[in-house]
Amino acid sequence: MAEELIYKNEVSTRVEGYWYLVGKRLKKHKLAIFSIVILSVIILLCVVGPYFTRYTMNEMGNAITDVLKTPSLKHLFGTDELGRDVFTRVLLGGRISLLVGFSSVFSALLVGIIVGAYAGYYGGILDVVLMRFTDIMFSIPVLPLLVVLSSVIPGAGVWKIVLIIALFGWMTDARIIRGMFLSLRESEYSEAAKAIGASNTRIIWRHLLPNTLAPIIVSATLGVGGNIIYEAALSYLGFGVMPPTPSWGNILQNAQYAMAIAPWLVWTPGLAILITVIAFNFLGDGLRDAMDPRLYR
Amino acid sequence: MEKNQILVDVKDLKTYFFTDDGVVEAVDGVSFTIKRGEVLGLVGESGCGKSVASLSIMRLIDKPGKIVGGEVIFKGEDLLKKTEEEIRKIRGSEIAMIFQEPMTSLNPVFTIGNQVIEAILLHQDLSEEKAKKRTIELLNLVGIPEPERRFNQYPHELSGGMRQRAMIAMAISCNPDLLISDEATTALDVTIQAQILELMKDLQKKIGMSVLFITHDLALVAEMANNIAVTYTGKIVEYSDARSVFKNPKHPYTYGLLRSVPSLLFEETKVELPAIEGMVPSPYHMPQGCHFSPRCPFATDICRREMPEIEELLAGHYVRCFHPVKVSKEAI
Amino acid sequence: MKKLIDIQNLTKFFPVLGGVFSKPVGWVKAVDDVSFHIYEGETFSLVGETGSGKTTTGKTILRLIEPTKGKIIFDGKDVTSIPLSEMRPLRRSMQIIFQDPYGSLNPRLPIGEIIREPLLVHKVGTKKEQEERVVEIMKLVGLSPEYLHRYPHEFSGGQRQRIGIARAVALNPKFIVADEPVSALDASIQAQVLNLLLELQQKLALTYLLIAHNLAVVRHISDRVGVMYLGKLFEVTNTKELFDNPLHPYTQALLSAIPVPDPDAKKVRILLHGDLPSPINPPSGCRFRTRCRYAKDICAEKEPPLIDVDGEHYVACHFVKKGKKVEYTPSL
Repeated sequence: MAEELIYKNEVSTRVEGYWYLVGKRLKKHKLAIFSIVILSVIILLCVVGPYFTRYTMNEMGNAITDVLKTPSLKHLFGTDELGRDVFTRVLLGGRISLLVGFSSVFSALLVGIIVGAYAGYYGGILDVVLMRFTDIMFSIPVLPLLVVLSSVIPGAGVWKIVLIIALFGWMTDARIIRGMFLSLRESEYSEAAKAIGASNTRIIWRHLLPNTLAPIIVSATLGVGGNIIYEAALSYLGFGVMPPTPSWGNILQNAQYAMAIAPWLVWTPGLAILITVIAFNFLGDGLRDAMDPRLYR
Repeated sequence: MEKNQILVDVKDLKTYFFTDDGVVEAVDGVSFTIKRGEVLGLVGESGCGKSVASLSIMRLIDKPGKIVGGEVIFKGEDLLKKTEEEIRKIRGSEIAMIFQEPMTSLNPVFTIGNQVIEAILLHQDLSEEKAKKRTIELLNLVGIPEPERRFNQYPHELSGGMRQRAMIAMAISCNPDLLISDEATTALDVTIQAQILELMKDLQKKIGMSVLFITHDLALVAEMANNIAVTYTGKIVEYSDARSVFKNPKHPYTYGLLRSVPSLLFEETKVELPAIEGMVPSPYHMPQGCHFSPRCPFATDICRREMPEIEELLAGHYVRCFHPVKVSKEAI
Repeated sequence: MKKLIDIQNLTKFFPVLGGVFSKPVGWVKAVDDVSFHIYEGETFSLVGETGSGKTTTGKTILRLIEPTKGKIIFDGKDVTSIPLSEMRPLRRSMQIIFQDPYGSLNPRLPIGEIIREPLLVHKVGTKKEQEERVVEIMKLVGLSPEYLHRYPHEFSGGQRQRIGIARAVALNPKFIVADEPVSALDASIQAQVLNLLLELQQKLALTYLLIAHNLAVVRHISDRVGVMYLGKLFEVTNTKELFDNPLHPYTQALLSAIPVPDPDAKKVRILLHGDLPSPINPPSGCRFRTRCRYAKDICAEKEPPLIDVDGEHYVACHFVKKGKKVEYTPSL
């Protein structure tokens, strides 16, 4: 058919799925690519690194000679007041901080998606109720409440922290997703799905949600950074992860007094937080541009 | 103003877009002339370059587009060689343009009156009072009832047809020599479109301006234009006066369109239309040789290898084809 | 001939919300007491301009919009107020083709999935059988099956429209509402898609409700036509009769407004004065009276009923009586 001939000229030779297009556009953001590299290195180090250092997190060296040593080849980040290798501790702390960052974002996202999607799709009373609830949660000052909850709820696990942070992290996502659903439910392909006879559930999860992926992923990426800071703040205040489990926050807390005599105790976890969070932010920015819905036209 | 004096002479205009995915030759060697008082219809589908050509004339092409060649002789001078300052003086006063979507080309936060006055004050040395008077005159001229009241209204308070009339008022406010109408009636209802077309014909006679009438609608161009240039993928494929193009189409594309686009003139209905096969090629995958060859029922080897030049086949009738349609057709 | 669709007094009002508590302060009378029927196997077109209510009517018939009042009888069954869960199996018999080839396909699904979805939702066949059916349909609408895994953005407008058509016929429906199926397509592609619609109608014994504003297209593929204005049905008859002998003044104006691709055609236009009235506050009596040159006092007092003036030619005008007697005289 002459038509077939034309079609072959038109459609490109490789399947240009959504992710392929995103990747293509992301490659142009040098900063985002750089951040991916940095983050990969950091994550790799934190996850695998501790197995390769000669020290464990609590190994205390000689009480006199190994205490508060400046960074050297033997101890890359120096040692702390108990003679522990700071490098190993920072890596292990990274594990905890990253874990908290990712899982709290994930949990918050879950709640946010459900609240936002159903509020935006169904509208009416459900929307009003859910959004007013969201508003109330928004108006609560987070950090003080995090502190209060942390001291009130029994237990000292990392998961307690994840839960608490997630409890206060879902609202922004809910609002964003609700907004997207409000407009997407008017889209023609949503109407087409209805015309075929698809159920509301199917429309929400299979048709609309995948199209809200862009802001979700961007929000998640930026959220990891933000939550790492929350965790650090909590731990620094003494309400987060409890020693001896290291996290970037509580390492900082321990190091307070040493600012003058052993600044590396403060700089190393501090820089770790800074670099990681900035990298997540740059990545989020790059993703936001790359996943712009104008991708489709 | 003498009639038959050439107002616009576009010679071999080339405007290319340099995108990440490749170079798009949006306008690739387009030439036409418009005499004073004449209407030239520029017809084509998406991707034919008609809008880009008009924007090129107005020097409104921005990155990644660039005018890479040709001349646009307007009143004896090449517009492409003028400075930005000089062009700005010409835009709006000597050459005016109206667009498809009046809602987006009119500023929603200013009143209609305000916007027309702005057009006047930019190019003419009138007092505000005189300019206001002129604006009311113009609104009247374009058929807006109660112009004094409408003067103070915002675009969203007007209907589509009214907005388009306001746009036209702005465009003719300085008595332009050339009006470029880019799909100006496409978004309007058919009864409103009829009104606007009548208005444009009327104004054209009154003011004596030339019009570059850009559209994809063959029927509109039959009604409005003295001469017609049919464009396809950045090149003109047929160029002649309106009667010749409709009664005696020589390019297979023109011939195909006239037979396949439903019109009230077709005798038989509910039958299969003689459709043109295939589709407009993507600018990134332009076929070799004549761009229309993959779809052309008359195409031969040479068509697929080489691009034909535009030639004067009959007096004043130019065609770009190795096998111009032999049958002299009555427009169906 | 069997009536497949019988619409009786269909009404749809949209609330205009206002005030602090978003209470209805007015109603957009989009469709107001509209009655007509569609015979099995025919193509019935609803034509009208902006605000006529034709699209709302089409979508209300499919219960994509809930009717305010009236009856929708599909294949003998009253489906007006049955619960949506009961509607679902019926959707296998009534489908829709949308106007916008860019917005009506989910950009995140490959087209094979888009076409397969109706089969999936209604649990027709095994996965393998569904996939085979998808290939079968793609060939039927002129799409190469090797593109099953591609995404909508990789296709042109005409191809996307074919995908939409494929989706609509996947379940072998009886009735399809085609909402402006070719308006958004290039001129040279329109004929292809129209041909496809005609071909499918033959092959699959389909009944179409075509919603369109392009009267040339309507004339080409419809058997019967209904003309709407501001929510009301003004004239209904078979296509030939409508174009040869339009009786309602609005229809006459509408038809005279259509441009014709013949530069020699002498256009005697019936120009409508004034603007389209607001659908929230339509004129009393006959809604067209504010723009009709034959309007008299009775037109403001009483709404003209839609009556059969001869052989299923329905007209809603005080001055068109039975036996096609036309009694309107121009007012000032």
